[in-house]
Amino acid sequence: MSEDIADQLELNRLVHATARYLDDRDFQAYLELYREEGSYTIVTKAPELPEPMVWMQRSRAELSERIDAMSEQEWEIAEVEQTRVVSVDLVEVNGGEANTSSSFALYHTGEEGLTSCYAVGRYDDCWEKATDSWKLLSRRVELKTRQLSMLSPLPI
Amino acid sequence: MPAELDSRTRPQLPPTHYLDNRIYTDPAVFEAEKDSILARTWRFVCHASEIPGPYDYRLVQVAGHELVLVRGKDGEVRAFYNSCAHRGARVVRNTAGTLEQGRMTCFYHLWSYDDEGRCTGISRPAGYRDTSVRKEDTSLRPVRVETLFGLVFVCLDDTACPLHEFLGEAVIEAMRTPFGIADLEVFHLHRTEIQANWKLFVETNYEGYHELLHLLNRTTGVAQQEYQERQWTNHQRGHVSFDHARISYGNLNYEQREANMMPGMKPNGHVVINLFPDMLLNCRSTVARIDSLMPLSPTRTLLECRGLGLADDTDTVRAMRVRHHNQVWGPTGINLAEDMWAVQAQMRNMENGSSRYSVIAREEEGPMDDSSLRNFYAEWSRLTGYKPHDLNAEQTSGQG
Repeated sequence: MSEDIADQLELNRLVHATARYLDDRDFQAYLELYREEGSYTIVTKAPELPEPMVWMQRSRAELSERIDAMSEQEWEIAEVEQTRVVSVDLVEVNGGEANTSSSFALYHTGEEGLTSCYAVGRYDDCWEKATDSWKLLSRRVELKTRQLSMLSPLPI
Repeated sequence: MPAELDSRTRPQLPPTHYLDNRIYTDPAVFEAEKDSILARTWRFVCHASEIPGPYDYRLVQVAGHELVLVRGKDGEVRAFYNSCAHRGARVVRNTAGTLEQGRMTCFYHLWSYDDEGRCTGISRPAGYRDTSVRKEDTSLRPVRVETLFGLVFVCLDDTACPLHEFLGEAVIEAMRTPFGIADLEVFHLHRTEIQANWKLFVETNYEGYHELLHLLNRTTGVAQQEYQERQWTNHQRGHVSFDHARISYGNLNYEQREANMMPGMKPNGHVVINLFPDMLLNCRSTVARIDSLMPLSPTRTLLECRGLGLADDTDTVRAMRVRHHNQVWGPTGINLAEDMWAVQAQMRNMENGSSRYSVIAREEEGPMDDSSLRNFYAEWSRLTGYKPHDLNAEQTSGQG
């Protein structure tokens, strides 16, 4: 297998790993996929405003701190099973850097077993190869869904 | 033997100090609210910065009606029912934009209207030669619009008092900081559907002691003596304002709000102004928030939240305001999710009848007083004719 194809397969696996870790609430594993200086942003565009809105912008450290500081209520509000379905449609490797772009749908399943689609959008990720492994430099979540039924500081 | 106060037994309190929870669930009450409050009072619909230029338009919803707001070439903002005078089709169909050639043209039979709502074209007019239908006598139905400090209000009732009278001088003065000193601009707009009656969400901004729910408020505000010395001011027609508070953001390792403040605001300050029935204004030193509500049914409400900065913000300052906004408010902030969660938990018990009565009986100096809620319900009762403590009581003719 060529190095390029191996990188593409690995990046594809990592995008799916980000979704799996968030589904599993394994935030430590999720954050370890980021470089120290990595960043996470949620943006969305409403027809009423000329510019896209930023709904969250945090460094890896700030994201970690925010999750650690979540109140009891915030955890209870977010206590819902999550399932992300991700389709990676672009993997571009350029030496030690790479970009991936994926569409995603995030489903919520409540205690009573009812499932609904919570949000859809895209993950636009920038990666950097450090030593032998790829790490996220940035994730930009572009939300198509703007009416969220549950509000939370957790990554989408 | 039930206790005297158990949410199902009528409280032994003055009638002004408790609520019959069916005001949150009864479809007849909801219809009365639509007719006597939502369609008869001045309602905030958008900020002037959302329709900044000539021919810019926005669709808005008021009391179940869709209106189109248009800024004319003369700079005036006008509002019309978004319904063609011909056969009633929606004339404007995009949420926002700029009118092409200053015209609104109905897609169905191509009747067209100008930026002042006047009909400018009827297709094949010769067919109406023997009738009274003439474009000169045709228009979109106008709705009253008034703008105060860049806040655009509409009123569906042609007989209602002017906006200034509706608000009163004291409320207008309270709104001046920060809305009336410099030009503001909306940078954030989101909606979320709350599975609860609209009044329950309004109440979260009308009383100060649910702040005990919020980690942010518990940690940065409530424990301070100065915070406890604030007073509600109850204004005419159900409006209220809350004294300036000082917030200790450092207690939660948040940035201080001491630089690039909104005009008139103090460092690390917080002001609250609530306009009856459903416009909630908050400003935390560096950023302002406006909430407004679209009641959909007795048990469902669409909440619309805006974040505002100064129109002439630099990119750096705007990024700071967005950051401060998102820490506390917006879909990922610490407070809004908790408020929604709280009122949905209330609604569940009110809807299934487990909770029949609510208590609004606190009487004390300071922010934990319930007089602001009682002020709201006095106006609610005046307009709907219902007694909020007893839906079985004879309904008087509301003045709404």
